[in-house]
Amino acid sequence: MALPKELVAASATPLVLSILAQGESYGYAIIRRVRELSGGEVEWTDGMLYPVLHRLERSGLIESRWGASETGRERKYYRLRREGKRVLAEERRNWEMVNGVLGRLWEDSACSISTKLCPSGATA
Amino acid sequence: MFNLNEAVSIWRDSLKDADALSALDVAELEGHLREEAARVEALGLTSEEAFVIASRRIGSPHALNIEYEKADPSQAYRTRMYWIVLGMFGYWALNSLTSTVTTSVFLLGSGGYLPLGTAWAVYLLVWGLGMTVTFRVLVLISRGRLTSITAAIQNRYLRKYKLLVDVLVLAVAVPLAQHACRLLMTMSLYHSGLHNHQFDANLVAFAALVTTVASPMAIGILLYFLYSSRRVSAE
Repeated sequence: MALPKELVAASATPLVLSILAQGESYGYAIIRRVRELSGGEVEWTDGMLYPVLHRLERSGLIESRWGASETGRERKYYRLRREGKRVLAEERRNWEMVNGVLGRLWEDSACSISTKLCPSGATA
Repeated sequence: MFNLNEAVSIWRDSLKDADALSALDVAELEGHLREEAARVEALGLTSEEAFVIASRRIGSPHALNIEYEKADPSQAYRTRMYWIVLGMFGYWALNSLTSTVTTSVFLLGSGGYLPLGTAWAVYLLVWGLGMTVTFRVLVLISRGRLTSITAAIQNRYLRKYKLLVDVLVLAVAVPLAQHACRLLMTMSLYHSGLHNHQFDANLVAFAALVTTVASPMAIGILLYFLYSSRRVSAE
């Protein structure tokens, strides 16, 4: 099942920043990495990733340089900047918060269906 | 027989109307396209099949243009303006080169250093050749070829000093180019000996008037496009 377009768009920034937090990379490798990690569920069209990278670069979160690839062709590499690290930490807090809230809600609703599904210590 | 480089250049041609993409953006996407095609081919497909899949995955020119324009609306205007300016300077440079050579040959001929027939033949040949090269280069640039050169110009100067380039183009380069053209015209008139004859003062006055009016008009038009696109990007 593919993710809805809005969710893909919303998660683009934290995904890119998180991948670049692990080291310098380039567009193609970033897309491959996202596909790999999501088991193919977050399938980006390329037309979407590059403008995201350029937008992040213009807002100063990442920086780029042109360098040679293994094949000798010029390739554009992206790297995280300090401001990007700060925004990534903020994104992380937000996503963990949303994740936590939804997790709690779903645990509660599962609990109301069957007490066996209640989180330890909680009652229906 | 399928030729990858040919297919890639056709693909590049298809992006020539996508104004929101700079030459560098196209170069970046081309790298992606080639890498994806190579990966798919390694899975056991023919290079043609691999290319079709890779170019489909990268997205249609229209879809790419929409995404890029959303991310940076002012790039479309910038791309257009750089091509105009590059075309203007390119044409001017190549044209002056051709004129210099042809005028020299013609002068040699009229000075008796060359038989007049030969001088005319060389004149026409160089002129024809110069014009052909000029238009060929312009056509290649407009089709998004010569990207290694144009991308280097955009990368080194235009992107790095965006605002500075805008100001330079508007305030300095346009009038400067016009003055240079006028200077060249005057010098060639002088050197061809026409200053000994009475040449039409009305024509010179008219040329001066046109230049004076054209300068602010060109700047005005460029400013209009500059600020109308900035306004769009601010919205």
